[in-house]
Amino acid sequence: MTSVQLVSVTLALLLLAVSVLGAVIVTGRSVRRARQRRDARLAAEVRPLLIRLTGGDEDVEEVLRRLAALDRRRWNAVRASAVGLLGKVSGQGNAALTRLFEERGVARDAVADLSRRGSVRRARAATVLGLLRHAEAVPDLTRLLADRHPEVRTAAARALGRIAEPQAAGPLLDCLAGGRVPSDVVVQALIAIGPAARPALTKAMAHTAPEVRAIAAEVLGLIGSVGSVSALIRALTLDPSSDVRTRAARSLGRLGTPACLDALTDAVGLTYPTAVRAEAAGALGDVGAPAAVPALRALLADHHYRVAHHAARSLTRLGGPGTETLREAADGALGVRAAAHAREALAVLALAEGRHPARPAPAP
Amino acid sequence: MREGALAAGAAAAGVPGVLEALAEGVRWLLAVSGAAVMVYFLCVNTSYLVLIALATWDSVHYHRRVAFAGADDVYSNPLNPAISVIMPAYNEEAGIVEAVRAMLSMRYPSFEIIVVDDGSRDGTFDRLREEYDLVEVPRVVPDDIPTRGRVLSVHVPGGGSQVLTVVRKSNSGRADALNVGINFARNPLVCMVDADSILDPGALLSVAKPFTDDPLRTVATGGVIRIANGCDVVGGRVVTVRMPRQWLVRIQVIEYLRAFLLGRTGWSRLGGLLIISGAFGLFRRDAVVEIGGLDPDSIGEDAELVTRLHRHMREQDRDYRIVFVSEPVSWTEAPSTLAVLGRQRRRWSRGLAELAWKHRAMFGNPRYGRIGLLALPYYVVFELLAPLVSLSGLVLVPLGVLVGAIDLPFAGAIMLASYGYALLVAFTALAVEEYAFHRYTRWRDLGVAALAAFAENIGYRQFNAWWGVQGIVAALRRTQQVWGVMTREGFSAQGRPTGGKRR
Amino acid sequence: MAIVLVAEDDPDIRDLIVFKLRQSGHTVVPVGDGRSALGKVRDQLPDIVLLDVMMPGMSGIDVCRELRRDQQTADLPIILLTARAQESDVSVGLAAGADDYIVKPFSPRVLADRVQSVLTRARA
Repeated sequence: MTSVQLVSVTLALLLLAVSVLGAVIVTGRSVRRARQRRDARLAAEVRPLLIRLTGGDEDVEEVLRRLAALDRRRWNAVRASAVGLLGKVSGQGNAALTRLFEERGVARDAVADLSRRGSVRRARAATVLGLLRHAEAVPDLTRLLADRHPEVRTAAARALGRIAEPQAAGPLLDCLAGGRVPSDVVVQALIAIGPAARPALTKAMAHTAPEVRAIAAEVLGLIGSVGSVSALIRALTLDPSSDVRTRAARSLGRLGTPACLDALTDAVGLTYPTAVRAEAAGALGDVGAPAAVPALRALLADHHYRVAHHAARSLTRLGGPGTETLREAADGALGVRAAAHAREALAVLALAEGRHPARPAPAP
Repeated sequence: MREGALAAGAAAAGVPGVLEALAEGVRWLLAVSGAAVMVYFLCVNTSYLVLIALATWDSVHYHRRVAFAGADDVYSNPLNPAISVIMPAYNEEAGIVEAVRAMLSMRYPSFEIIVVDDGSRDGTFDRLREEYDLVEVPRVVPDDIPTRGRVLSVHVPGGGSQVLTVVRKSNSGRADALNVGINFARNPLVCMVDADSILDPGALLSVAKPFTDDPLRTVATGGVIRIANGCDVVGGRVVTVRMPRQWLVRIQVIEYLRAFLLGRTGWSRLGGLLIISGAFGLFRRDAVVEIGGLDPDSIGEDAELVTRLHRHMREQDRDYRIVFVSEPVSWTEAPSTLAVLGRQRRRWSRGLAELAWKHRAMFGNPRYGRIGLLALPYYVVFELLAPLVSLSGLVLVPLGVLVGAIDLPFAGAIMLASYGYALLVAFTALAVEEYAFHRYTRWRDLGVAALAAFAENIGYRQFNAWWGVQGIVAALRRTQQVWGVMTREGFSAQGRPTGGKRR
Repeated sequence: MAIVLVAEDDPDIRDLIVFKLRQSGHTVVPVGDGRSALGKVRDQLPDIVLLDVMMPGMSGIDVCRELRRDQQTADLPIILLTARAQESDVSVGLAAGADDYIVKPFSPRVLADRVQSVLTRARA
C-alpha cells in the first residue's frame, strides 16, 4: 500500500468516525426525548393520585389503595416525585406518603439494596431509608459509614441524621477522622440528634484525631450543651490543635455561662495563639456580659487586626458600657489604632440603629 | 596561473553538484519538518481526546453523586463557609446595578459583596449610590496583601445591611483592585467575579461544594465559562440557551466546549488544573494571602495566581486540591469581531508565555509533581507553541510541494486527515456535551454546532495561530526590556465590554 | 374566596399547593418562575401571592421587592415559601416586604390555613 492510499484509508476512517459520532448524538437525543415523553405520559396518569394522597385530609384510603396497586412501570414514572415530596412535606401528607412506601414494600427493598453491588444503588437505598425515617435500618446504615465509595458513606450519614437515633452519634463522629464523610453532613446529623448526642460528643473531645475534636467542640456549642462547659474550657486552654481551641472559644461564646465568660476573658491574653485570641474576643460579644468590657478595651489597640477588630465589634454588643468605651477610644484615648477600630464599630452601630454614621475623619 | 585555471575548473564542475546536494538537503528538511508538523498535530488532538475521555469519566461520576448531594441541606448547615464576592469595576456604569442585583439574589446562605470601583471615570459609583442609598463609613483595613492603589472611601447601604460594601480607590488595574478587595473580605472564602459575567443563581453553591466536601484540602475552585451570545438574558440571568447568530462566535462555542469545559475538567481530574477563569473563581482567603495575592504585573493574573498557588503548596509539601466545577455557572459575552477576538487571543498567548517564563524553575522539576512534569510542559508545548508550529506548517508544506519535496496529493490527503482528526475531536466534545449537559435544546442548534465544528478548520484556526504568534512576540519583547516593570494598560485596553475576557 | 397566584418551580410542590388551595375553594393561578409571576400579577390581579424563594431566573425575594415598588401591587399580600432554615434569609424576605413565610418541609394543611389567615388579615 502506498502512502497516499494509507492516508486515504485514514481519511475515510476519520469521516466514518465523525458520522458515527453524529449519529450517536442524534439518536442519543431522540431516545432521551422519547423516554422523557413516555415517562411524562405515564406520570400524567398517576401524578394526580399522588398529589391527592399528599394533599388530602382524611379521605385518602381509596387513593392509597390505588397507588399501592400500581404496576411497576407506572410506579417508576412517579417514584422520583414521591421520594421528592417525602422530603418537602411534613404533617399528614408525609404520613400518607410513608404509608404508601410501606405498603409498596419500598423500605424492605431498600434495606436489601443496602448490601447490593453498585454504589449508586446503595446510596439511593440509604437516602430513601433516611427519608422514611426507618429506624430499623440504623445498624445497616452505620455499617455503610465505612463503605468504599464516598457517595455511599455520605448518603448513609445523611440518612442517619434524618432518622436521628442517638446510637449513631459515636460512629458519625468517628468517620470524621481522615475526612471519610464531609464534616458538614456529620454536623447536621449530630444537630438533628440533638442533646441525646452529648455523651458521644463529650467522649469525642478526647479523640486522637484533631478533626474529630474540632467538630465535637463546635457541635457542643450549637446544640446548647451547658453541661459540657468544663470539657470545652479544657479544650480551649490545653488542646494542642489551634483549630480545636478556636472552635471551643466559639462554642463557649454561644453557651455564655459565667464560667465561659471567665475562660474567654483569660483566652484573649497574650499566651494564646492569635487566632484563638481573635475568636475569643468575638465570642465575648456573643456572651454579651458588660463584665467583659475592660478585657475588650485593652484589645482595641492590639497589633493584630483581627483581635482589635473583633474586640471593637463585640463592644457594640455590650450595651451602654461598651458604647461608652468605644466613644472614649474614638476620641483618641487609646491611641490612633484603637480610635480607627472604635470609629468603624460606632458607624456599624449607628447604621444598625437607623442613624447616619459620623463622617470618617479626613486622612491625616 | 595554471593553478588558478585548475581551481576555476574544479569550481565550475562543483557548483552544480553542491547546489544539487543543497537542494536535496532542503527537500529532505522540508519533508521531515512537514512530517514533524503532522505528528505534532496528531499528538495535540490525541491529547485532547485523552482529556475528553477523562472529563467524560468525571462527569459520569459527578452525575451519579449529584443525585444524593442534597443541595438544600446547605441552608441548614451552620458550618457552611461564608463567601466574600469581590467584583472589580472600571467604567461599568451601564451594567453595574444589574450585576450587583443579580449577585445579591444568588442562592447561597451567607455571603457579602465587595464592589471595588477602580477609579472609574463614569457614573459607576453614582449609579450604585442611588440604587443602594450608600453612606460613607470609616473602616480599618488589614494590610494582608500589599496594594498599589489608594483606598479613597468605603461605602455601605444606609439601611444597615452588611451584605454590600463599595470601595472607591485610585485606578491601578484589575489585579490590584482584586487585592484590595481581598484585604476587605471578611469571610474565609473569596470569590472573584467580573462585573460583566452572567452567573447562574446556583453558581456559588456549585463552586463552594468542593470546599464543604473536603474542607481541609481544597484551596481553590473554578467554574466553567460558557458563551452568552445568542442566549436570552433577562434580569442578569441566562434564561434560554441558544447558539449565537454569528459564525465567528459559533466556532468559539465549540472551542470553549472542547478546551475549557472538557479540557479543564480533564486537567482537574489529573490534578493539574492551571487556569481558573478570572470571570469566576473561588479561593481560600488565607491561601491567597499567604502567596501575596494576585500579581499586578502579570498579564494573565488569574492563571498566574493558580500556578503560584500550586507552586507554593508543593514547596510547602501540603496536601491540597484545586478543582474545576463543570456545572455551567458563568456566562460571558464572547468577541464577535475579528479585531476584538485578535486582541483577546494575543493577550492569552502573551499571558501564557510570560507565566511559563516566570515559573520556568518548575519545568520538569519532580518537586512540583504533575504541575512541573506534566501540566506546565503540556501548556507550553501544545498550547503556547501550537500557533508557531501551525503557521510553519502553513508555510513549509506548500513550499515543500513547490520544490517537489512533498508529493501534492499526499500533502493534500495529510492535510485533510489532520483536519478530519480535529473534527473528530470536536464531535466527541459535542457528543459528551449532549450526553452530560444537553444545554442546547433545539435541533437547529445541534446542526449549527456540527457545521461550526467544520468551519473551525477553515480560516479560524489560521487566524488564531497568527494571533498566538503575535502574543509570543509581544511577550519576548517585554522580557527583553525591563522585566517586572510594565506600563499599565488599564481595563479599557483589555477589550471591554464586548470581550477581551481572559480565560 | 380568593384568587391565589402560586409561583413555584418544583412541579410536584406546585401541583400540591394548587390542589390544596382549590380544595379550599380558591381560584389558583400557577406559574413556574419569577418573571412570569410578575406578568401574571399584572393581568390577573390576584388577591394574594405565594412565592417560592428559590426560583431560576428571578428569586421570590426579587419578585417581592418588585411588587412592593409598584404602586398598584404595593399592598398585595405576599407569602414566601422557603427552604432556608436560617433566620437571616427569613429576615431578608420580611425586609423585602413579605407578609408571612412558610418553611419547607411544610404541611399542606398548615399552608392552606396560613393563606386564609393572611387573607383575613389583609381584608380586615
